[in-house]
Amino acid sequence: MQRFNLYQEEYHPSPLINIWLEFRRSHIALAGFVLLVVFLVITLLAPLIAPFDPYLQNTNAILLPPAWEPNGTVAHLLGTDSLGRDIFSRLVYGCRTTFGSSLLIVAISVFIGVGLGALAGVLSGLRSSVVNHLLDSIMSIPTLLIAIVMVAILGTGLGNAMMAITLALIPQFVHQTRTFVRNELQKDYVLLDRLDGASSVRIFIHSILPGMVELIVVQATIALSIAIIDISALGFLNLAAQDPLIELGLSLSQGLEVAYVAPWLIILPGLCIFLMVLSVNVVGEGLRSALRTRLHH
Amino acid sequence: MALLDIKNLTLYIDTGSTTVKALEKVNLQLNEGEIRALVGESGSGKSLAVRCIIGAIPDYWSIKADRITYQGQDLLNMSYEQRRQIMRREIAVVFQEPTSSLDPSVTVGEQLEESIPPEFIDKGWFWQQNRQRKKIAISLIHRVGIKEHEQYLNAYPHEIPKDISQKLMIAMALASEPKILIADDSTRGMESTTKSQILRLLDKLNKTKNLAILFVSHDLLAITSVAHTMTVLYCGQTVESGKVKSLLRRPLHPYTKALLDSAPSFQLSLPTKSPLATLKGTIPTLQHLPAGCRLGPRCPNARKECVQTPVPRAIQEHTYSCHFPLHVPEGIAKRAPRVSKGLGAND
Amino acid sequence: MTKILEVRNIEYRHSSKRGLFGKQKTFTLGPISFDMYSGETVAVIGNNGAGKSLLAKTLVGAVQVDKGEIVLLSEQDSNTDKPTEVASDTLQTPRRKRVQDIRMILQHSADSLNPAISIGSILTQTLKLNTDLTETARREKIEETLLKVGLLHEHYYYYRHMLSDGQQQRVAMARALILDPKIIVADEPFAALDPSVRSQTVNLILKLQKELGLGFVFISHNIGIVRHISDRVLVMDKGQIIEQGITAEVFVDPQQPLTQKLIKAHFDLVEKHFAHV
Repeated sequence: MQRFNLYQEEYHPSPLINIWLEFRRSHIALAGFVLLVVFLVITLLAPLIAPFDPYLQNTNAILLPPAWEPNGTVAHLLGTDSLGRDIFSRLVYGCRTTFGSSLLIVAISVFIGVGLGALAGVLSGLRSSVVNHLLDSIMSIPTLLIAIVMVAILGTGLGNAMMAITLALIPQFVHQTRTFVRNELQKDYVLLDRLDGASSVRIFIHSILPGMVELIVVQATIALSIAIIDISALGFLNLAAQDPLIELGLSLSQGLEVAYVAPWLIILPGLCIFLMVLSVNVVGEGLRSALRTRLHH
Repeated sequence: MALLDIKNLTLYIDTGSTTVKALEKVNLQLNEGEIRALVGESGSGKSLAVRCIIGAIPDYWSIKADRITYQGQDLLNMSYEQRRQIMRREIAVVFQEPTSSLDPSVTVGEQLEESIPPEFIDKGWFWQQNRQRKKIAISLIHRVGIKEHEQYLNAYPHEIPKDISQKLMIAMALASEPKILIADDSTRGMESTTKSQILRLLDKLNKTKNLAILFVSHDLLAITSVAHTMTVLYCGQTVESGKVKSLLRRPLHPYTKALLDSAPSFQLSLPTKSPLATLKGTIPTLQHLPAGCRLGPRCPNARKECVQTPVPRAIQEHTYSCHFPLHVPEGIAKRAPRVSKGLGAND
Repeated sequence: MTKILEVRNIEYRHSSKRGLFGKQKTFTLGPISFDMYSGETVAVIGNNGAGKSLLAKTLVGAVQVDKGEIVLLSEQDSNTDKPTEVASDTLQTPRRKRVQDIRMILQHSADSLNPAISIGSILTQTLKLNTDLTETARREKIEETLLKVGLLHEHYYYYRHMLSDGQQQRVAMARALILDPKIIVADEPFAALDPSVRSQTVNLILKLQKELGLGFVFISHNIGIVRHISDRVLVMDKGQIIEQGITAEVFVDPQQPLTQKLIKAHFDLVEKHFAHV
């Protein structure tokens, strides 16, 4: 059987690769993506990057300003805090905690949310709509508020805060997945799948999931930025990460006491949080517009 | 003077990587009281041509034409407000899917009343104006052949059968008493009884009100029953144009012949279940338009001259753009008068 | 000619209520009976809402009939008339034979293809669910079917957005043909196609019918195409078949008023055409 490729010069990529190519066209989105990768690397390789042990207290180097100030030294690039601990190392570990826990939060809520949503989409009838409406009403409450209430019930600590935020983020995924699954089930190609003899599970994995990936990814980036803000907000309020854990929001609140003397103690963690959220949002926006242009074709 | 005169209309679309000529040197003329069919398949640019006429094109498309005039007024260089005035009163458009053109949350009667231009309502108290609107709406409904106006005026769009809603769309278009009605594929997807009702209505409107109609479609059966003249488009180029009678009797362009061959009802001698005569290949996409005559790759008569875009020539008001037209010996084809710039085929 | 399908007195009742207090509307399909022979084309015509699409769905098993049976006859046993029961299957536990033998094509080819997965995956899934072929055998079968419908090997990797209308319709046909069915049921396959693509699709179907002896049931509004390619025609109204017979006979002498109206409306337009020529 002769096999030769007639259209060698035409490259027909899959929809996912198409999205990446479209995404790449926006320079801002690409810059955001690079920044995101930087944070990811920091999260994974924190111990290798940090020059000092972040818990090491050095009474000789208290409240040293960053290296570019007249009193700073290059050894402590971004200065030290009131206990002599190196700020740069603490930032690196703080990013790891904030970003890492946010990623974990989003991963779990995607998994649970999509699973529940798929189930809700497949089941129909009164029960499913009641559950749906309940979840939708939860969605109208700000996630931070829900998280604070849950921490108040469960107690403080990073683990509890993460659980609280995860629970607060799940309804969004359930809603989106349920809507999508319901719409897809009405489609003709699903009917043809059933006529071919596919079971509901097979239809879900093979026909519905590939179409859903893009939407979930977009929703996940939004959730990621919410998670970062919430976890650092809770950290700032001393409800999440506790001493001696290092977390960006917690560092912010700890630096408040000496803010007038050493402003870099609050500027630097704040800048990190800002850059993290900015990169996630920019990447999310880039993905969304790439999806939109693809659907237009 | 022609009501609508379009000469050498070229539409440039920027597809991101290149600029394509979605329409290339399209010629179209519509006289008073004439029903002209604009025939073409998908990708022929017929809907684009309609949008160029009514001015509904996005900013990143650009038009170049020798002229686009309505009753002598230049539409191309007109200001937006002036164009809107003309569109509102003189030219009316009816689109394909009637349900998607109607607001689903408002009754049909209200929408019909909304489409009546305020100039037709006399000054008075608002209840008097409402009453007058209602009266005009009822008369419009009767004019399109719907008898039970009570039932339909208070109904919502999704409750009305398709043929009635299409007639209602025509009624709404007629509210402003236009001179031209552009019907964009109005009979698509209809069964024969509904289709012939709509076509009869269009014919009646044309005869009684001298309404000029531009009927855009690829349904040949519908076209040949109601149109006086037709223009055939293929991939943005005008391939043939003239009276329906002469195009049917002697199609000069291979594409026109292929279109006519696609309707088995037009060929009495075709045995049942025999294959239909087709052109090989498929309609090229916008990104892969052939150079010269765009039918080139698919045309059974194609020769090397066909990479040059053929110039429109006319034989007795029957215009064609082909280097090797059917039914015409080569010598005469070369001698047929060109349709030159500034001179329309019907001048 | 061998008989391949017997539809015996099928009935289906569909009731819907609008809202909590709305009136109950019932639509009854049937009782309907007709037979089909191999290599035959049966056209179903009628007004909108007559139940044509519903009939198509019962034939392929997408809708379960309440009464009656749809019986597929296997060719070798046509003497003993040993039927393969179709109607007793539920959608959840389809019997392979039924799914394989009557396949469906829908009107809008775009809707029959999942935009997120490639053509190759769609066809592979159909084969995986219904045959025991190995991976290489599956690949061969898919490529053979693609060629049969006039597509290329490369289209295995294509996605829906890369294909034109006509090509999408061909993929839908490939999906139907890949299980070597006896009957293909098509719900208005030509309505959304351009005339040139329509002619090509008609020619393809005629060719496949001649080669494979396929039975073809199609619903259409295009009376011209109906007259050209169908052997028999069923006229439906309000869920019943009000007239059926050989196409030529029905067209020359329609008995029912609805049929007469449909045919007359078509021939009026045709006459106007010939008045020009």
